[in-house]
Amino acid sequence: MKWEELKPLERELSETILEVCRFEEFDRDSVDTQAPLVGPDSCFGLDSLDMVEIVVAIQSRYGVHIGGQEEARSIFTSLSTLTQFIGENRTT
Amino acid sequence: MKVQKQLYRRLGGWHLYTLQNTMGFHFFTFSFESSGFYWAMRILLINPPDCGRSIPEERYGIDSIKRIFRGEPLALESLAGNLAGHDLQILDLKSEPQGLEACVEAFSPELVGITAMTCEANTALAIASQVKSLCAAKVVVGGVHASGDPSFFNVPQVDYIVVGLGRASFKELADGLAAGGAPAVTGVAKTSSVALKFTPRKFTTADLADEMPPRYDLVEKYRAGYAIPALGVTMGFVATAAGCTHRCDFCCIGSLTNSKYLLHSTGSVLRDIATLADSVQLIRLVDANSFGDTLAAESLCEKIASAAHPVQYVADARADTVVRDPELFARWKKAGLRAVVVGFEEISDTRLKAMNKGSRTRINTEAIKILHDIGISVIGDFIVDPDYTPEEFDILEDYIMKNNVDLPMTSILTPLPGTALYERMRDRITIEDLDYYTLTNAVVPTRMESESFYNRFAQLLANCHRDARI
Repeated sequence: MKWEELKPLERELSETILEVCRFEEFDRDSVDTQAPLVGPDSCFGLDSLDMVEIVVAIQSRYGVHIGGQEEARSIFTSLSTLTQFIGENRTT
Repeated sequence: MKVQKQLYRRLGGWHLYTLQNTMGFHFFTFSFESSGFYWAMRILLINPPDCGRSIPEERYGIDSIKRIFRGEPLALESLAGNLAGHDLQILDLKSEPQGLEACVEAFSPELVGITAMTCEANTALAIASQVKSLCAAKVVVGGVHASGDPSFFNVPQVDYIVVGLGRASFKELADGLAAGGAPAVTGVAKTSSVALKFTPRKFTTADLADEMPPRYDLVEKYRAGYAIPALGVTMGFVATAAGCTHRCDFCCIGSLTNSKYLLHSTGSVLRDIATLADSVQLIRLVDANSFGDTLAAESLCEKIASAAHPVQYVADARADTVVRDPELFARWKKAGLRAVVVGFEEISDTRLKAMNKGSRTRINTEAIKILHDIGISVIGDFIVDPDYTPEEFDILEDYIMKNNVDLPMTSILTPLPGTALYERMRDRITIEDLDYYTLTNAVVPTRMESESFYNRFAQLLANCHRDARI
């Protein structure tokens, strides 16, 4: 999907992921909102430790609370599910 | 009670054996065993004395690096627990440093087991020699160093080496010897004048022998000394798991289980806690990782909370586990978890990656914040690399102070034989004498001038321990 076709919050979250994981050379047009966010098929190439770092960052940035591993796995199914969670729960 | 040779007689799987006390009276009891006729043996299990040498003290007169608590020899208590039917004693030379000769003479053991960490390996050999000079007992060595580098103990004063968890294998060996044989047991090496050969054991939860509780009673006379004097609390040990979920390259735990992570049953953990709960104030869950299976940790938490023993707990957790599941730790806090030991190890992501730690500085920092928010004290393990510069010492100290790590436990990166780190650093090792492998000596050259390195290390400990608490 073209970077410009992403929703604003999807772009913002993608930038957060790239910043947290220090991905400097990344083809932003390769973002797939429906692809798994973590694991071998992740378009960002995220592993489980990356996910932990991203959880820390988005909790702080958006004032959301993610209570446990199961909830985090569900929220991090894809960029689309993450975007939906942040959109519905952000306090900042 | 002085136990005479005890004849076991097989009675359809149940065994009858006789004991004779000092008054000469006999009484009878039964024990279930699966093997045939054998003599029960007098088995002495020995915990080595405080040993190890200190470069900073010997070379530079820095004597401020001290042990802050003494714990019970749970590994030996667990071995003894699975040796029902034999006559057992534990000699804790850390509590009773001069006790070996009198104990051996009074007890006249037929089998002696010695456990040893790497810095205790030379001392274990000296104990083995002394035992051989005092009696005709077979000598078995086990523990962390025997598991990581079994060939070290392939010497005449040692008869067998237990490699890895010994609860089940040591019992098989003892029962076989008692039956008059020279048993071949997986995970046990018979020493020889040529290269050591043995069949590695495939460890399973059967090796935990959960149905047989540790013999806490065998160290009763030492128990008052198992304490943290600075806090004025007595402490008991309970294991909830063996091995670890991760493969940090400096860690020697993996060799105990062939890198498996094995959970004790919840029932056995609760039983052991209940045994100690009336006699100690603090229970240390002595695992490399008490939260390696979060579902099991959740279940254990619920049951500990229900039991409501008047004790507090200290357990080990990984920083990423804390960050992934903060609510689990909030529930543990309610169940009595007072402090968590977290192996932060390093404050450089590059060094964490080189260690195969599987964590990152940002995650470590968040874990400290989460635990403090919950009200759990943080005991933080940090490792100083001999390559540290003065600036890196400053950064580490600054990190510890800024993040209010309640009790920092700082060691020096040491390549223990049997670890991946040993293979990575072996060409740089300049000190081979295992007496120095206490984790407070640099056994490879330091980048800083040696005296400056140790002075700064001692200063780091002093500064960080000034307001230490748990």
